[in-house]
Amino acid sequence: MSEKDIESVERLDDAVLSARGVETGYGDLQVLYGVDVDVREDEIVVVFGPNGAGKSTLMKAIYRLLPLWDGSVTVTGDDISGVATDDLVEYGVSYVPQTDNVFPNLTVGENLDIGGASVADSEARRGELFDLFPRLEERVAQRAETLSGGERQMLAMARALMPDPDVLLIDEPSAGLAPQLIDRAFDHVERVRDAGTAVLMVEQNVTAALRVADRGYVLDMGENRFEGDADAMLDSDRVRELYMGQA
Amino acid sequence: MADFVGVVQTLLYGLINGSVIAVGAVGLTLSYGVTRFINFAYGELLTLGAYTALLLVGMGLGLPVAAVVAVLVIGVGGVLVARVFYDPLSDRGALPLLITSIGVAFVLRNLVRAAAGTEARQLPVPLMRPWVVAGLRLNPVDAGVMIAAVVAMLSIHLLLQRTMLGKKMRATSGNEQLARVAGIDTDAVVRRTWLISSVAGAVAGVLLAVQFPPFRPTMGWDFLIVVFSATLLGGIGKPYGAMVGALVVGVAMSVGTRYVATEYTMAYAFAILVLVLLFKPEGIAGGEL
Repeated sequence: MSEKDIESVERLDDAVLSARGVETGYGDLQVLYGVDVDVREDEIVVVFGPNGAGKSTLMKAIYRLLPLWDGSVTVTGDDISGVATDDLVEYGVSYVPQTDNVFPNLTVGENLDIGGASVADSEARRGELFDLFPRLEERVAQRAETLSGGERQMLAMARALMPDPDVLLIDEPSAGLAPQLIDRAFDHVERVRDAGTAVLMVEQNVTAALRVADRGYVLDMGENRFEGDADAMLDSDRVRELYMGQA
Repeated sequence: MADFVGVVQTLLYGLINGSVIAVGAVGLTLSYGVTRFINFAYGELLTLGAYTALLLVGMGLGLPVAAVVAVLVIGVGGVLVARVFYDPLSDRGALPLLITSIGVAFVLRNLVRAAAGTEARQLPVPLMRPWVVAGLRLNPVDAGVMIAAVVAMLSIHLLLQRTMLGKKMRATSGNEQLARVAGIDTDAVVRRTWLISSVAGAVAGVLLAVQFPPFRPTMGWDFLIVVFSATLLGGIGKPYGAMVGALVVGVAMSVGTRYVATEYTMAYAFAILVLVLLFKPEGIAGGEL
């Protein structure tokens, strides 16, 4: 794939999540100017770019924690642009915020109960997630505030996966983790994808994220800058120079 | 021996008082834990609970039935008050809500005054001979009050720990935004919390009216300082802390009244409040359910 290929943003028709022309901001300050992102089934898509590019803002806009000033978001064909945050789980999309992503005053088991409040057989689903994150089963009766950073991240993902969503949005899964735990965090993201949930993640740890991702988007100044296969991004001199600090 | 019995008797009265305070304190702390503002109109729910029971008794209902109906009526009334006065301000922060609740307290108190007058009233509680065991005296009415208070607290414990609503209330208390992200209708959780808080307030009001007759329209407002002391001592927003704080305040009031001076019962609760603010100010910082 040439450098030119990743400079144009391709719109995908078979996407399970599609964000089109997303514009939003904080108060009067506009942060995103018509951003497009697509995530296909069984795909990990990473969004990266410099600080202030609007990556986390994009996640919040998709999840309706910020108002959509313009544009639309669809999940499995349903327009979720006007859906309230607390109803989004029913549309097959879940979200793991970057910080404060577990209920510290609840046990691990209770955090999962909250995630599975609308699940018919939450015990069975909990068992599946314990297979994915065995450490959580050992900590099931422990309050979430007593967990390590890595365990909290696992719990945050497991809570969001309880409703078995079609798409999982994760904001910086490696944030705040010790270096030796970062690879494990990305392993978990891969396992989530392999278990059948598409993943859209924002990440600063670009090289490690692209190694597990299928495709990537670069945001810069609130706009799409590059988009393409993860391998092409890793091979791109311009992307590496501009966004990974490597010549 | 007489002194020892006297001390145990005093502690027993303290625990009975504390159990009533606990019901009131848990109701206040639940609403704070979820909504993050101190509802100064909470004391009026106690008053309204007692006066509604009195009204229903006057209409011919027996006291136990009147008490249950009054508690349910005030529970629903508390939700309506929150819907009308607090919901429109819910995104403006704690201070406007707190000031509004002071205004709501004035309005409710004066409505009771206008409707029921200012003279002292009492519920038709039968006079009963106390039980005496090993020199300790326990009035059956006090025993009934304590049992009712313990049942109320156990119910709240089971609600919080064993039901999905309780878990949702604790989740909303711990992280409201994450609760919405996780699919919880936090507005519905807040409405149910107002219901439970108002029910607890009305239960405390009826028990208080039964235990310490007669009562006036200012009973809830006067008792609010005791409820605040217990709530802050346990750390506002923490129901189990409120229960323990209430028992400490109840015993302190009983011991102070028995061994220091009878006329300063409320002052002992106020002294605890001052001590908490001086030496344990984190009590007003708030915690999660």
